[in-house]
Amino acid sequence: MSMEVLTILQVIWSLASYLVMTLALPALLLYRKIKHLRFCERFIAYQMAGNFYMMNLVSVLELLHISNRVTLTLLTILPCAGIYVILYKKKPMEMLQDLFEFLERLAGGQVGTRLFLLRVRVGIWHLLKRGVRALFSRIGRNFIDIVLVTILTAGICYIYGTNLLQHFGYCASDLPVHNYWVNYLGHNKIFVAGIYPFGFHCVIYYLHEVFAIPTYVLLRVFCIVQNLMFHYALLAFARYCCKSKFAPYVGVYIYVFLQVFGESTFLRFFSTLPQEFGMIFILPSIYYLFAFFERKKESEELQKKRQAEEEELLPLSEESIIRIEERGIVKTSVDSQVEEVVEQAAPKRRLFKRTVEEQKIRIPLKEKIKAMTGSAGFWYLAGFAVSFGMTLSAHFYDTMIAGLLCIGIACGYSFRLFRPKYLGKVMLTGIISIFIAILPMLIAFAMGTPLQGSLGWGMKVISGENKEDFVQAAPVQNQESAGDTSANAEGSAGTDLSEGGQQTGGAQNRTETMSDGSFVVHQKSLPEKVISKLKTAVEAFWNVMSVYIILDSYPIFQIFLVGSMVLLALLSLIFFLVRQTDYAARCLSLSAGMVALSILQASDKLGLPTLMDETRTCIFYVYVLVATWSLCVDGVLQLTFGWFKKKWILNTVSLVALAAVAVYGDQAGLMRTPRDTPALQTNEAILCLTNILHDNKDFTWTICSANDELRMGEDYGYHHEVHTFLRDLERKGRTHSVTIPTSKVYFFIEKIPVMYGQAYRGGEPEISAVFADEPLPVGAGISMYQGINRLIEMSKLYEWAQDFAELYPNDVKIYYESDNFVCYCVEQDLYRPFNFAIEDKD
Amino acid sequence: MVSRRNFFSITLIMLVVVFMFLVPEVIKNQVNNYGQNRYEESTNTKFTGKSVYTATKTDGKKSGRFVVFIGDNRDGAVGSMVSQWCLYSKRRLLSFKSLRKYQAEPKNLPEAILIDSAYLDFDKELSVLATYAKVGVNLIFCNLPDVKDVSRNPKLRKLLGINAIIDEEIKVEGIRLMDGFLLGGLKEYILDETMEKTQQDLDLEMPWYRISGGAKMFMQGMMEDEVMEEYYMMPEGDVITKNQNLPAVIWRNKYQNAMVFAVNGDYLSTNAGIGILSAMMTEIKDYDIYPVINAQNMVVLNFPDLANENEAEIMERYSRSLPAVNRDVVWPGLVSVAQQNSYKMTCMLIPQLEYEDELEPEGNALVYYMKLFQEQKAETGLSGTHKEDMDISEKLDEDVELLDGVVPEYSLLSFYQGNMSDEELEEALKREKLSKIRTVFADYDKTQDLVSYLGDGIIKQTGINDGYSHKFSENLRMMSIQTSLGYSNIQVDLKKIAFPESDEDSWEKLSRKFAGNTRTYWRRFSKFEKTTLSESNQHIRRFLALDYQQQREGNKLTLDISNFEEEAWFILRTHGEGIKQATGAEFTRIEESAYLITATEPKVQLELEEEQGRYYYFEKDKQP
Repeated sequence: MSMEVLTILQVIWSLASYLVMTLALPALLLYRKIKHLRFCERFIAYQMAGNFYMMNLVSVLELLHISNRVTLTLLTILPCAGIYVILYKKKPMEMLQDLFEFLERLAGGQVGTRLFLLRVRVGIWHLLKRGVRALFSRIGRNFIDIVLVTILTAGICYIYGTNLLQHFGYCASDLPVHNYWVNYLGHNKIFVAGIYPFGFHCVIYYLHEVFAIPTYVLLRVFCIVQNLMFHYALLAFARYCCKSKFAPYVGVYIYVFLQVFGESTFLRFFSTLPQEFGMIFILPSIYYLFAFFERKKESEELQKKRQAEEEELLPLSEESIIRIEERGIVKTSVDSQVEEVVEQAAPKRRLFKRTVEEQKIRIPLKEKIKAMTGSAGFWYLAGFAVSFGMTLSAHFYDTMIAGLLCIGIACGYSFRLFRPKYLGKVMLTGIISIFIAILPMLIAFAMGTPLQGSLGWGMKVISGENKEDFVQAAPVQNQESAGDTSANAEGSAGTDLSEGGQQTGGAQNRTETMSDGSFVVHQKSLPEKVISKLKTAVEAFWNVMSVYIILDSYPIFQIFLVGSMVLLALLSLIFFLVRQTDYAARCLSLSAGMVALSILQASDKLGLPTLMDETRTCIFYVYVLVATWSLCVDGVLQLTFGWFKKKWILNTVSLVALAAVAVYGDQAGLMRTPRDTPALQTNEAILCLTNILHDNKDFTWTICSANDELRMGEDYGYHHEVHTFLRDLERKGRTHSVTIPTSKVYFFIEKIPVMYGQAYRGGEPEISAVFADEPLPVGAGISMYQGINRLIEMSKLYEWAQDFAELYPNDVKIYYESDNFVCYCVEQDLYRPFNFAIEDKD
Repeated sequence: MVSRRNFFSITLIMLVVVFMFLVPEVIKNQVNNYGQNRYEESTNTKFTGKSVYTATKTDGKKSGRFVVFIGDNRDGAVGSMVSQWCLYSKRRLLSFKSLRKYQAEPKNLPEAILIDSAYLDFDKELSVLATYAKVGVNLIFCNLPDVKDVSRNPKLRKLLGINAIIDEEIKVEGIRLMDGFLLGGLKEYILDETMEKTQQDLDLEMPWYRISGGAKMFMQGMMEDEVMEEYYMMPEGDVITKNQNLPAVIWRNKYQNAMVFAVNGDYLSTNAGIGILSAMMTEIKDYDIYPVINAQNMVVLNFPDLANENEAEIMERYSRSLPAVNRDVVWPGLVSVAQQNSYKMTCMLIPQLEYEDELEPEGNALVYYMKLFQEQKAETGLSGTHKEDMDISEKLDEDVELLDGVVPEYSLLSFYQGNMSDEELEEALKREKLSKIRTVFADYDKTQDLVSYLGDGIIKQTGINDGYSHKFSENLRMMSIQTSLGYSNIQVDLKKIAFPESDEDSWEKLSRKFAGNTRTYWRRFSKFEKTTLSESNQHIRRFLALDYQQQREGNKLTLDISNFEEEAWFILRTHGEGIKQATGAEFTRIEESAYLITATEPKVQLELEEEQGRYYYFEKDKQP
């Protein structure tokens, strides 16, 4: 089988496994309960439920040290079965009894085999017929949607999936670390390298264990799955926010198909990384807040309407209610005779014809829970808690973005949020969601697990303790930015703002030199100061935007970017005026959210604490930006065509708008092509690893290579670092044997070493005897495999392998060789493994 | 009362049953052509003693199969073994009693120089050997000089890859034969609790050589951890260090451009060493293809004894007479072993051992056994075993008379030499009844050829293993000969049953050993053909007569066989390669990287491939 076909099958299997858990299974359980919701809302609900369950199930089992395939599978199937039985009021015992009775009848011959087969055939036929009918009915009703989503899916697969078929290795240097953490979940060691958000790792581990997909395969191909999912989440969110049917596609299509945004905004999508996985939950959390404010208001209005109706009805007459107090509990009952008399005398029908036998004044917990969960707002707040919590479980940066967007919502829905009955609930939900997300981490911390390095660093950055270190850690970015902005460095607001604090207002004055050499200091007025600051802020943002988000080559889209924030604000004003309050609030929320994101994006230039570096912020920025563009288009269309009673007019116009964008993109030559993102591993290395796993029993082999294969094959075999091996040959080999005690040892040698983070000077490097004669690099960590060091290591290993193959011509085989890679396989007798420390030929 | 109707039915049924049992027996007797030797066809071969192929200088140059031996090639030890191996492997052999006498032709360098250390002047001739190694001539030290000589000669140690001499003499616990060297795989010749002490008959005392990093071990001494810790300061539980430093028995070192093999012991001083030499040649090359006999025989000696001999003792032991023991106890046991292991028996008939008494062999009994042999596809030969004080010619006269009387048309093709001298044998074979004998079977002699011509028309085959005994040296011998020739002869002497010498000679004990040994140790060689002596005779004639040339281009291996007659057999040994398809031949996998090729045409083409090809590949490569 070719690697390309294998990769496609792996993608399909990963996607199918993930969809089973985040779509099929939740849909099976929840569909009937939420079928009144729109599909986009149901999709979000399924996604949240599935992911939340996987993350927390793994976390709990890991903390209990009982996580394995059996427990995970059982605790997936049993609760689901339980929920199904409870939600749909099934009677499992009766069903089982029926089944056994039927089997008994079948075994006893009361039901013949032919009849049984006939029933099975008819049952399957009916099921198929119903399924096909339902499918075609849905396709018929949503034909254009299905076509558009299919195009979108194909586009995402093409743009982000092609690279998977060209580069089989990890494209990001931190993936081996994530692989390591996931591997150790298999040993029931969560937080093996310290406390870190493990939501992503839990999901990967769950899929690995339950669906038997090797972790390294998931980390190679899951990026396409998560890309699809967060694009779908974006579409679902836009679909919820917009009133027209096809305007949501506008933003998403621009995002996927047009070559408008800077490379930084999508470069990480080629790797399976936690931050990008967490993007699935950002917009759903915002959706839940929107829905909460909107539906709660609707339910309040409905309740008010009912109350108004109730007021017209007579309540139970006071004289018919009997109260008896027993041991502090007041029992009430109705005196039916008195009630009858009162009722007959009453002019109208009573609302509550209750025959209360016994009623406690203190409402039981169950009733309270029922009342609480029965309210419209509860499930939206729960959804918010779950999705917001999952952003934290996946990656802190996702939470930051979700938090900033929540600030936007606070602006947009300020007229409701700051009412006591909203504010308290929202705040409490936020706290609970964070608590749920960090609970596993808290437990681990309480048990003595330290914070993982990057987490500690993040905390320091947020608290400001690590500001200097952080600035030093990103000198290149600062230099680049400084270079870009050097043209207007003098007098720029950036300078003013950054130095403002120290100059105690000095910079807010303008100094003018007179002809006689004297200086006149002009004191700025307040409006001037404000305008100046605003101008500086806008300039700072513009500079950053043109570097990271939309390059200067696409000025029209740069204008769209800024314009969309303004336009949304204006639209919200108009819609407030025309009493489309929720729509207006959504527009304003997104507009304010975008402003907040803009400030974050330009925080370094604005002299604010840099919570997130620009290269990462821009990813989220664009992600939310395209949603705002969809809303802008929708807002404009709503304003112009929304007044027609016929909804199809608005929908048609939105489809035309989408088509116009597509045509424009094509005509302007903006269509995206797949980007070639080289991996940090050779394709040949992955091919060899895959074959080694296929050919050998577990733990009968060792791979001696540079770094990445260590974690990829950790669960199946052994790994030896090239550097350690060479060091052993040089030092230990002088006096001792150097052995690797497995029956097969594979040596991965890059003839043209991979560029691992550091570029080589000059042309494409190639291993040679000259580099092999260089001393073995001294240092630690990944630096051994970067730049010239990698070249030396590979050259030395190649030279050694040549010498060794000469000594043992029949025991050293070339397992695979290409122009830039060679894998040697040494087969040895474990009763006397080879001493790899061979003497020099000389 | 039985009604007439029922009586009639019962009678009818009984008649049918009787008929059903009798008819097959009658047909079997009618069809059983026991008076004819079914293996007479195997005599149809044109090859005689004159057809034996001996490589000439031209042949050696053409085929590249040419070795030089430094020693005496007729010494009855290493030299004889080397000569024998060269004959079987179709190699040209040049033998010199001193290295100085050999003048190498630069354009016709040998594959290897085999050295009997006793004939090498280590002070003067080592540099010459080093020169040969430099030009790529491989060196095989069939034995090593005294450890003191090794100790004081650093050049020799470097040549042999001896890193250190830990002890001048150490007694090891056992010997380990590494996987992939001889056919049959890994073997550990070490006693465990279930074994008798006599099982260990290998030489366990040897100098303790620690070989260097670049050397490869094929056989090593096994020692207990405590001893290793004492001698080598081995950390406790460090298996790897232990295995690295165990005493070397057979190994090879890479010196300059040549492989240097060394044997620390006398494993190459008997004809059992031929397999070790074949395995060494395989190690030297990328692949090796060589002709083999491809025959696995089971020879039942001195069976059946047709007279009621040694009656008193037999009655005491088995409560029945000797013919009854042979018929009811021994024969079923033999058939069981043969059938379970798919062997064909060759039974060497002995009508009687005591000719002076009045108990004569029964002709009916002979007919009975001849029928049984025919049914079991066994071959009948005649045994020459006789009492020391008896004239062999008298014995043979009586035997021939009996055979002429009972099975006058039966052609005897095999004869067991027994305790006859070579002269007696030569004389005996002149009799008319024995004139058709084509195979003489003899007991194992470590100095004699395993298979050879006696004169022009008779092949002498020797028994290689005793069915009742399988000591460690016997196992090593069997594996070695299987590796080199694909040939084995299990002999089971049933004289012990008629004339037991101790309690150990009772059939229940002997048969247990025989059945156990056969089933256990020959299982890995089940791919070789099971033959009778006459069939293997034909194989041997073809084997000794043929010559071959082989050539490889890429994955295609071509074999040109001369002196080819119907079939020829070869073993192909590779290092991780297998046969994808064959033209002009059939092939069977014996074990990993070892194939038995049955050539059906004189020109054979083999297409080789990696045994473990990669399952996944790149689309651009297309080929998996």
